[in-house]
Amino acid sequence: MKRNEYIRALRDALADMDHASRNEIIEEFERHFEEGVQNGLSEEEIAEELGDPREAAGELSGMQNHSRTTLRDLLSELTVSLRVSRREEESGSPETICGHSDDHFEKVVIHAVRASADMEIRTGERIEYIFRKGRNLFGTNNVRLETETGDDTFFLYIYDGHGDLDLTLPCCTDMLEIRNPNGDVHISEMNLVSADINCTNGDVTMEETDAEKLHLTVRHGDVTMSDVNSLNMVMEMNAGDLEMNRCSGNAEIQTAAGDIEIEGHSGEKISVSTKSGDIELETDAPVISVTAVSGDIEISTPNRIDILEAHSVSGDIDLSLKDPEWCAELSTVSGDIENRTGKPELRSRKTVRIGEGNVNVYASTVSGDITADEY
Amino acid sequence: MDAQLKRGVLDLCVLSQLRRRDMYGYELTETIAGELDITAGTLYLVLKRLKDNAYVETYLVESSSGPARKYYHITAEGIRYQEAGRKEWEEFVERTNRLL
Repeated sequence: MKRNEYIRALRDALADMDHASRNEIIEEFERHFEEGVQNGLSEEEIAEELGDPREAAGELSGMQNHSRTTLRDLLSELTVSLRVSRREEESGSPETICGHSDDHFEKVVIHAVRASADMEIRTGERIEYIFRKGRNLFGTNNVRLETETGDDTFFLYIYDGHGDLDLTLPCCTDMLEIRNPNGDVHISEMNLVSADINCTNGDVTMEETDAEKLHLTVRHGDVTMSDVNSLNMVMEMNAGDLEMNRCSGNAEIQTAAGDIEIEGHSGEKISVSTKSGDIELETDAPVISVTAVSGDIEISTPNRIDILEAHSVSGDIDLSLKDPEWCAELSTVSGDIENRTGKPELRSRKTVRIGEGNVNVYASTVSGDITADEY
Repeated sequence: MDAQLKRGVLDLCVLSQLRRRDMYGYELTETIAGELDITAGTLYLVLKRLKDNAYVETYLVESSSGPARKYYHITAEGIRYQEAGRKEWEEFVERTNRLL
């Protein structure tokens, strides 16, 4: 298209515009032609570069209405639509992979390998799994499930993808082992001899489950347990919080940054430690050991105490005790010690001894306060 | 939606270029139309709109060798709009990246 022809087409395309604005735009296009020619381009080449005048004008039409729409509005709209499409993907009716086995296995192993899955596990008639594939934006969820059987063991592998797993296990299953790097694990109403659960980025929830031996390793997720009975539970956590209600068994719990809240625990002994989280512990175990670095500690125990030890560096320690025989040795370097019980106390510069007899309660902190009270 | 987003992004790109220095139409089209998939003609209409919204103002500079050049200069309001837009854009990219 030649220059004159182009300008004519542009004038037509801008016919709706007021006279002054149209001329202003046309002038700019004219200048563009002149600059282009100076740069050695032909009129046709320049017209090509400028593009269809109707298309250019189309950019303007409707633009007036939106001219005050900010980029903020546009982008938030786009983000919302991204979220919506993600939700649709998640809640749509994705494909499922199902399977079952009627054989009896002593042990069941579930591993997610380069995959993430939310897992629901409970007691059923037989081994039965339903895996709902999650959908991807680019349709690239090539998740695969593989099963394998060995000596008394049933293996379920989830490879390369994501989705939700629903699994039932027959009551004859004694041992359960789960490796789930990304995803939640929910176990309910199981009766096991041992459970070993290892999660990196998901939450673990256990309800009404018995496992003589319970080993939990959870790096970033939270752990919630209610009505779990175990003879021996070991929990290694990193950043998540732990909440335990009405659980029994000897427990050894460690976390780096999460808070720990334990209510209605019963057992022979419990040991809880954290670096920066707070600890709230209510237990009837006669042997209690609690340590924190910067977190606060609250312990209440309605039972007799063989030995209770609580140590924090910069946190406060609150004790609430019932054992009629208890006798405590409390010390802090720069904090205060308060005795709210009627028991006699013996104060020295940094240490307070409350009660008479053999000391069975030790609490110390460097810069925190200590309070002792009756349960 | 797409067209609108494109407009928002175009506004942001043009204003960002103009914050560096004043530029005339032809050189702006060379810079921007080269990077984004738009025609030079579209860009002139974007410039016109930015001017109508008082984000830019123009002035003519006579040239000895060729036609007079119309320079575009970003206004204080344009700078505010560009800064807000840029922040929004960065947040948007960050959020999107988290979802990708």
